Formats: sequence, C-alpha cells, structure tokens
Amino acid sequence: MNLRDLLHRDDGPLTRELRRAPAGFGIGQVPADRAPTQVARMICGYCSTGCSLDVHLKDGRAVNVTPTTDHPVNLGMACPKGWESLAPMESPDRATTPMVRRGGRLVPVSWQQAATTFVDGFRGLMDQHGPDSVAFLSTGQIPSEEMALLGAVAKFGMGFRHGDGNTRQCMATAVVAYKQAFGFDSPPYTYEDFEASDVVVLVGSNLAVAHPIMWERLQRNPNDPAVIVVDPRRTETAMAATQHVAVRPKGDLDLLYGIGHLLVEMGAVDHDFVAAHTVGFDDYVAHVADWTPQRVAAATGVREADLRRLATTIAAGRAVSFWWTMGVNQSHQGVRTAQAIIDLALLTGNIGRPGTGANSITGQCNAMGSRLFSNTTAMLGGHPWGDAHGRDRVATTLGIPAESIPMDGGLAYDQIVEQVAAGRIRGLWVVATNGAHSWIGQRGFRDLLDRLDFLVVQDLYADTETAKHADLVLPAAGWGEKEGTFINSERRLGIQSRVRAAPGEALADFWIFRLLAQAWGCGDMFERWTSPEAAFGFLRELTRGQPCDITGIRDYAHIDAERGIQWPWTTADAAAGEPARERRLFADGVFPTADGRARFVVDDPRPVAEPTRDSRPLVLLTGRGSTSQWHTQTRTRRSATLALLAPTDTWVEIHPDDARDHGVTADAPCMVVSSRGSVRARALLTSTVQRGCVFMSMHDEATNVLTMPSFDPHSRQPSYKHAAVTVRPLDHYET
Amino acid sequence: MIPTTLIDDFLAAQSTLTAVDRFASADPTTDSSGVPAQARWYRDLMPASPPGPGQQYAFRVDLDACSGCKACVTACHSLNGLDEGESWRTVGALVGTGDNALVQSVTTGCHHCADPGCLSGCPVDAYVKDDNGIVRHLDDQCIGCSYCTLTCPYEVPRFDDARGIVRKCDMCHDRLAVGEAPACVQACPTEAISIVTVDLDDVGTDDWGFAAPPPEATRPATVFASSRDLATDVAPVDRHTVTPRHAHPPLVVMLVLTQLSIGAFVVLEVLRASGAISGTSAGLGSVAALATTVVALLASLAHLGRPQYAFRAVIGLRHSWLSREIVAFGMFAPLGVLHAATIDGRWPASVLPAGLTGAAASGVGLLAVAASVMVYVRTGREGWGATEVTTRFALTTAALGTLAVLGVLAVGAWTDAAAGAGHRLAALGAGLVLASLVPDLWAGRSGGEATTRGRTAALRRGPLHGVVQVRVGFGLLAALLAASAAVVLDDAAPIDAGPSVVLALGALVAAVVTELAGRWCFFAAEGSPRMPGALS
Repeated sequence: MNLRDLLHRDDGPLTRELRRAPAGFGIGQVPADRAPTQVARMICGYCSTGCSLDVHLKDGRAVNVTPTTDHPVNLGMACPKGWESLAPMESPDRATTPMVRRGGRLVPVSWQQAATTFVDGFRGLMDQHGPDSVAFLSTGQIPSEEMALLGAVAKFGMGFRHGDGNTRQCMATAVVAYKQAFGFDSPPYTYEDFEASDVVVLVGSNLAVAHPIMWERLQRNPNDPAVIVVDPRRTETAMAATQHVAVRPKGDLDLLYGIGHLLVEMGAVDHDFVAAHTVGFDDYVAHVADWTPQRVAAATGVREADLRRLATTIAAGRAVSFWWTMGVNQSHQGVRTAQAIIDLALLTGNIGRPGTGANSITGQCNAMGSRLFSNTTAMLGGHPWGDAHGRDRVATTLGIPAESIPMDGGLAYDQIVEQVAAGRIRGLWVVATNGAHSWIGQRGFRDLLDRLDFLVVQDLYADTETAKHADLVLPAAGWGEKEGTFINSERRLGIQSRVRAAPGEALADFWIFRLLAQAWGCGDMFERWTSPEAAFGFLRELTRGQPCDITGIRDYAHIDAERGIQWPWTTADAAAGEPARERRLFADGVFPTADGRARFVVDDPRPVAEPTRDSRPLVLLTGRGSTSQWHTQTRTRRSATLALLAPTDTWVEIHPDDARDHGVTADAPCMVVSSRGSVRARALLTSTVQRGCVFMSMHDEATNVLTMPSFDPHSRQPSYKHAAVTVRPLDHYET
Repeated sequence: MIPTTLIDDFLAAQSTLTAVDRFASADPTTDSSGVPAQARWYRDLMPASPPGPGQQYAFRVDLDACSGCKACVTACHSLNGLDEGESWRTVGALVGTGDNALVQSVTTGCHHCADPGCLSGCPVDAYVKDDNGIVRHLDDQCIGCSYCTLTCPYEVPRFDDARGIVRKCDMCHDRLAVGEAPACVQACPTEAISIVTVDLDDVGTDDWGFAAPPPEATRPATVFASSRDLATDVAPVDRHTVTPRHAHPPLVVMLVLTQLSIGAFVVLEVLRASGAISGTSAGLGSVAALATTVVALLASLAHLGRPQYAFRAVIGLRHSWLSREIVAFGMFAPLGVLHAATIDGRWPASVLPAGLTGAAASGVGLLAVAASVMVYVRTGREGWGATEVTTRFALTTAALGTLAVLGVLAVGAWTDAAAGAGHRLAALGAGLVLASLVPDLWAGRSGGEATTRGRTAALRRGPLHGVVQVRVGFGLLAALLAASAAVVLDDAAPIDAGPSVVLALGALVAAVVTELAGRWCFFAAEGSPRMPGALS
C-alpha cells in the first residue's frame, strides 16, 4: 500500500459492505451481498390488503423482501410491516420446542409429550365436565387450509362444541350486515374501485394509516375525486379529504340516516335500481323521515350546512363508493351502521358499477378465509350450521360420518369468555391470537385465563401476553414457513409458501393439528389432509354452488400465475378462459338472497353502554396508532427497524383545552382512568382529537385495560371505540 | 401415542422449501430489457436529464401527498442492506397546537447541502460532493471522529459503534447513475418523494416553512412543498420531549485537560519570565503540564472510532478546524518538551533561549485552545456562539491553569518559590472559578420552549439536573478551597505551608470536576433546533 492510499481511501471493506448490484428478476439494484439467486412471490401476512411480496432467496435462504410490481393489489408498494416481513421470523425470541408449565416455569418437552399433555388436559375436562367445558379461539392470521383443519379436528374429531376466532373482534359486524342485506357475506368491490370513483366516502376508516396501500390506490384515482371522511378524529386520512365530517363518537348512525333523509328530500334516489333490485325502500323512507337536518346536527355535532354539502356531493356523484372499517365494525350498533351505509349505496344505485359499492375493508390478512372456512360461525364453505344438505356435503367431501358434525355453531368469543367466568368452560386452546392483550376490558380476561384448568397457546413466540398464562405452548411456524391460501379484502385468494425453514421443532399449524388429531385418536378422519394443497381441494369443492364458488381454480400454481384469483371463480367461468385482473360483484343487480334482491335494513339507534358522566367526562377512542405496528405487536415488536417508527411509551392524545381543564401538561405523564382500571400515559396535546375525546393506540398493551366490554347484539363484536374515562395529573406519590 | 415416524415426517416436511421448487423464479433475466419493472411507476419522479453546470440533484418532498406511512424508512433499510434498526430516512411529525386540527408527517434523508457542514468539517476528507451535487461519505476513509455529527444540523451522519465510523444517505447514487430511483422514491406509495434538479443559486435560500434548523448554515438542497400553513400554531410533535445530545465523554476529558495543561504552561511561563519562580520549578511544572496533555490526547484517541487512522487528520488542515486543533496540540507537546530542556541553561540554550521556546510553546498552546473554540463555533450551532464558547474555554484555561500551577508548586514544595506567588495564585484561582460559573447562571433560564436557550434550559432542569448540580456544587467548593488557601498563604507564607497543600490540591480537584461537568453540559444540553421528530 502506498502512502497516498494510506492517507486517503475511497474503497475498502466498509465501502464494499454497502455496494449495490443489479438483482435481475426485473427488480433493480439490491445490496450486492444479498443479490438473489431465486425470487418467490407470496402474500404479506399482516393485513387484509393482501400485498404481494417478492422474497429474495440466495442459495435457498430468504435474504430480503421487496414488494411485487406485477401484482394487481399493490403495484410494487408495501407498508413498513411488509418490507420487514422477515425480521420477526428471524427473531431469537421464536419458540423452538413445545413447552409445558412446571412449577410456574415453561420447560421444553418433546412433541410426543406435548401431544399427550394436550390430550390428557382436554379429554380429562371433557370426560369430567362434558364437551361444553372446552373451547378454542382461532384467528384470521393463518391460511384457510389451517383454520379449516383446526375447525374440523376440534369440532368433528375431538368433539369441541365451541370455537370462535379473533375475527369476531374485527369483521363480525360486516359479516352480519352483508348477510342480512345481500344474503351472503359478500364485499362487492375490487381495489380498482378506489381509482374509478368520483366520490369516495370513508366512514370510520383511517385508510392512510390502517391500509396504506389501499390509500395508495385512492391516491392514483385520476378523477380528482371528492373524498369525504367521517371520523371523530382529524386523522392523516381526514387531513387529505376534501370534506372531513368530524362526527361525535357513535353519531355515525344518526349521520347516515340524516344523509339518507336529505338524499330522499333532494330526489337523489335511483328509483329504477331500487324498484328492480331491492326490498324495503318504503320502510327506509318512512324511517329516515324523522332524521331531519336539525335533529341530526344536534345528535352528531355536524353543522346542517356540512350535512347538506355531504348529501349534495353524494347526489352529484357519477360513481360513489362507500367504505368502512373498524370505526363502524367495532361499535355497539355496528351492524345497523354498516347497513345504513349499504342503504345509501342501494338508494343511489351505487353498486355493481366501477367505482361504486358499499365496501367493508377487512382487517386481518385472512379474515375472509376465516369467515368462509374456519368452521366457527358457519360450516366449512359458508354453509349454515344445522343445514342438513350442507352437513351432508361437508361429510361427503371430507369423508367423515355426518353424525360427527354438530348441528349448531356454538358460542361466540364473548360468550366463551362469559362461560369461563361462570366456571363452565375450563379448558381453552388459543391459536395465533393474543386475547390477553386484545380482548376488551383486558384485566378481567387475564384473571379468567388464570382460572382455567388448562390453557394451550399455539403461537410463534412463547412470550405473548396470553402465552404467559399458558399450561402448554405449541411452537408454530410462521409467515414464509408454510403453505396455504389467504383471501384478501377484495375476495382475492393468494398463496403462502415455504421460503425458509422454521426454527427448531416449530411446525406449521397444519402439521400440529394433524399431530394432535393423531394423539387424540381421530387421526384417521384427517388422513386425507395430506397437505395444505390437498385440503384446498376439499375447501374448493365445498364452495361449489355457493356465492363464493372457487371450483374454477385449478391449484396453487394457478393462483400464483394469475396474481391471485377473486371469488367467485366457478367451473363455468373457468371454461370461458382466465379471470380478469379485477372483478366486482353484482354487476347484474342480482343479490344472493332467495328473491335476488338486496334488503334495506333500518333500526333505531341504541344508547352506548357507558355514557360519559361528570366523573368520566371523556370518550376514549382507540385505533391504529402507526403503520409499523400490527395488532398486539407479537411480531412487529421483534423488528428493530419497525421499532424506529412507533412510540415505545404509552401516549394519550388529548385536545389542548381538555388538557388544560384537567390539569394535564404536554409530554408530562398523566393517568387515564376508567371504571376498569387506570393507565399511566404521556399526554400529546393536539387538536386533531376533538374536545371531549381522547385517543390511544390499540397496539399499546395498556389500552384495553380501559376499554368497556360491550357488544353489538347482532354480531357480538366488541365496541372498542367508546369508553367513558377521565384524565388527571399524577399524584405526587405516583411520580 | 403418535407414531414417532409421523412427527419425523412432519418435521421433515417442515424443513423443505416448497417455494423454491414450485413458485420461485430462478431465471434472473425474466425482463430482458434490464429496466426494472418498477420503473414504470417511478419514471415520472425522476428528472429527464442529469444536473447541468450550476445545478445539482435534490430530494423533493410533496408534504400534501405524504401520508406518513414510513415505507421510505424501511425501503431505505432493506434496499441498502443497512443494519437492523438502521435507516437513512427518518419521519417526524408536526401537529396543530391551536384551533387548526392538523397532522403533517415530514420525511427527511440527507439534504445533500450546497455547503455541506459534514464535508467542510471533516478532518480526513471522508466526504466528497460529486459534480451532480450528491454528498457521499467514504466509509473506508472515516476515522470515526464524529465531528460531522456536530457540523450537520440535521443529524444525518450517524455514528455506528460496531464499525467505528459514521454512515449516511448517498441518494442511492449508483441507482441514479443507471436511471433507477433511490430506494425511498421507489417505495413511496403516494409518490411524495421525487428527485429533481435544482439551481445551486436557489439552494438553501428559502425558509423550510416549518420548525427546523435554519437553512443558511449549510444550504440544504431538499425541497419541501406544501399547500398548508405549517408555521402558524403548528409545532413538532416531539417539541416537549427533551432528549440530551451525545455528551462525548472522551472529548469532555480532552477539552478540560488540554485547557488545564496549556493554562498551567502559560501561567508557569509568565511566573518564570517575571522571576516569580525559578527555572527548575517551571521546568518540572512544564513536564507535569505536558504529561496532562498526553493524557488528554490519549483521551481524544479513545473518542475515535478508528484511532489507528488518526494520522489521516493532517489532510484536512486547509479547511477543517478539527485538523488544525489536532495539529496544534500535536505541535504543542514537542515544543513544550523542547522548552523544558532549554530552561536553566541546559542544552540547547546556546542556540535557543528559554524565553523564545517558552513563548513559542505558549503561543502554539493558546492557538490550539483557540482552534478548539473554532471547532465548536464553526458547527454553526446556536448554542455554540463565538462569545459563549470563547468565554467558556478561556475561563476554563485560566482557572484550571492557575489552580494547577498552585497545586504543582504546593506539592513540589520548591523552596525557591517566591513568597507571595501562592497567595496571588490562590486568590486569582478562586476568582476565575467563580467567573467560570457565571455563564451557567443564565444558561438555566428559559427563553421559551421553541428556542435554543429554552431547550438548553429544559435539558438542564430535566435530564441533566444532576450534572448541573455537580457543576455548581463543585465550582463553589473549588472557589471556597482556593479562597481558604489564599488566606492561609498570606504574602509571607511559603507555598508548601501545611494545610495549604491540601487546600490547593482540593481546589484543583474540585475545579477539574466542575469543569468536566460543565463540558458535559456543553455537549449534552446544546439546544439548537432539530428536524421535526416523532413520538418516542
């Protein structure tokens, strides 16, 4: 080395660490040391958008992830969670062996011992207390084939009567709303509708934060659309709206009826559509007659002029699309609110055409799969429990005796919790969900977990808030470590595949269910389930003739080649060629009800379970606090890069005037107090939260200490977004 | 019981990779054009041609389009192969503080300034500004001095402990060179980030439009476009979060000890030249002062991420005050040795009179302290104004120099020390220590939360409260001990009179502690503005 090099070096090992090189595969430059030798496409494992990700493989090892460009969902984009899909899988925190609690500690055991413990635990309870003494809690986070096998093994093989999913916490309301209005749980849209509308109405949806890639699609709308956001908070989404309707919390049902009133009044009804394709219009008109602008303004806090502006915009729209998410679903009257949105779409004939629809945006990556195939609220394939024909079809398709199939669906999540509290359910099997963090009124739930005789948690990590209470932990494989299909928000099936080995002895949930069935002694019933793709064959067959018929899908390779296939895709459809990239429902105005017509559904608003009062004058709103955290953070908190992007402290957002009235100062710790408990939080003073409200992130473990357990009576979905609280400065002994 | 073969079968099935067999494309040439598929989406986000003369590339951020999803941060991390938790983009937020209900995310990378502070300050020329304006860091040239983390107002270069160097955004220059968009531009779902060419004359002339470091210092090239008023009743969401800056402990030690030793050297030389003490005392005192310098310089080496390349620091002499500081301290040591050798007529007194070597070493030493002052003044940070830094460093040099000489003479018990010198040194030392506390009197007073002074005050009242207490407490103690020594050592008393040794040494130690605490706050409580941050 000469002196010049010693004094000044513009190359060397540190420089080479950051060298970039062309990846090939149409991807562009990537870090040179991670240039892929192969690239595999698969669907992201977080939310329901269903983005496709290219997993970069180098010599058989997954080394990087980029979003797929050639995919109709995400057009080469992903949110931070998707970009960081591999980091949580590679975390040293992963559970690598089954574990049994002995003397208060979880100790590793073999799969043989774990399976024996499982069987002894649940069978012991069932022998002593009957089949109603056990239940399972499933998830929207695992592929359809796995949730189907769980539902089948538990209910048909082991004799569980009760099982529900965490989808009860996010999508139950939309399911019931659609079933009653359309005759089947059928979100009608395709993402192209975001781009084809000239008026977009978002109700209770912070799309920019909760579904950033759907927000991307809306941003690509070339029609300079009017964007109306109905939300108590001035969210990132509301910031970008052309009209933000800052409705009072839970004022949305009044607001929607008020808009219906105005639309009728201004003659914006599509009478041809209503007459040809709907039932109940006259009752609707009679119902909303009472919702005068004066009354609605008083009930919602929205000025009459703003109500009229909103109605006028909808009336003038050529293609109006209505979208809702958890602000509606997680409500004590969510079903009726969702139906009030559906009513507006029917009323104005905004359904079945590009850029229209009454569109429920889903939460989890496979919530739709859970709705069709989890064997909880309906039998596999969406057949109602007790339907003899459906029962025979399930029995025949799976090759099991019809008598093994129960006649009813068992209890919902909140009812299971109630039965645990009553001491009647004594054993619980929790798969890929974390109720000790996410269940409403969390403290009570945690107490109940400790009261159980037997708690099994099957998850990627043994340190989730729920696993901390477990008697048995079963280590599961995660995203990229197993096969199966997800169904996204727009009904698109996408595939999961194995691009990395699971750590230690972790197994795909599919294999865990097969093992446990074998140990239980009902393994013979599920021998046909030789692989997820074989299971896909049964599920496909069970949809034949249903609105969600997918019998035209050949196999996983077909789904991959088509970049996902939306249901329905029937054998008859397939005979005519390959599916279009984007397809929507109800273009013919025919709905899957007995008479082919959609239903207007109306109801009187109900009071909230816990009104504010002098000692609890503020409404606690909850919701997604960032784009980089997912639900209870079981996975996302393992990524150091995602950790850069979200607060680590507990924060409460409060209007500066409310903060002043309560003696709370900026950035200082305060106490948020509800009748369920108190939480210490730092105060963020911001006028994006309206007066009388505070907001906390659902990803924070503390938030559900405060929430008020109350439920929509039709969907049994928890109402996470309304609890009466107060805030106060810390007492001196608390600092 | 389950047949063990079944468990083994499932474990075996789990370990095969289906995607590799069935769904992976193993053909890298799926697109023979060589143009990335994503180019169809980002083509419009790139300039049609590279910058011409008088122009440069710049990031442009459409704040109206930015929804705050932060995909840019993760894409930068993944597409550039950065460490876990490392990204060259950050996203902060502004919120309305009055009736304007507003939330606005602000994404920032490197601003590729027209007059980059990182580059002009770097002592080893580890930064280059390419003809297209991109400011690149040469990782293998970096010695890890972290000076650029002080000269960049935007906290862009980040020090990496493991490698001992800083790394920063290079605008994905090699992507740009082949027509690909930088990672953040490619990854933004709402097309909020683009690359534009800007005229150098226009760069850094406009205010940011929101609370941020003033652009005049380095003339950042990034263009933030917004249709909203982000200046009135809008503030960074983290405005109340007081996070101390890095305290750089080795630099704290280095600054205090170099100032002590040079101060002591100069005081000794003045006493010697005026005949107040003998040459022997001055020579031995000089050696003690020089030993302190060596300790200080070793401490400064500990500050470097890659001390083995410290010698490279000479090459920035023409523009970097850090280089000049290093060279000046480097010269002071041998000059001081030479001076010690010439005292009392020892060799090479025949050619070099002690007065000359003493003056030369003192001059170089004081220049080195002046270079230290300039190192911080030149960062342009509001908290490090010329008066502030000069006052603090000068008072430290004078106070510690005086008390160190007092201590050295007391311990040395040199009988030839003139009566009266001890008394005057102790009295002067007490006064100087008190004087050095004066700037702290107003540093703790708030000037409003959104000002540099206000943030300094909040840091001193909050997380740095303990350090401030040490600073003040030991300062008062040092002054008290020195004043007591002055009383004990009246004009006639010999300097080694019993209790005066204890008092003098106590005063010195207390003064060193107070100055260390003061310098700690100098770094950690510096309160100049930052880019909008996020909740933590």
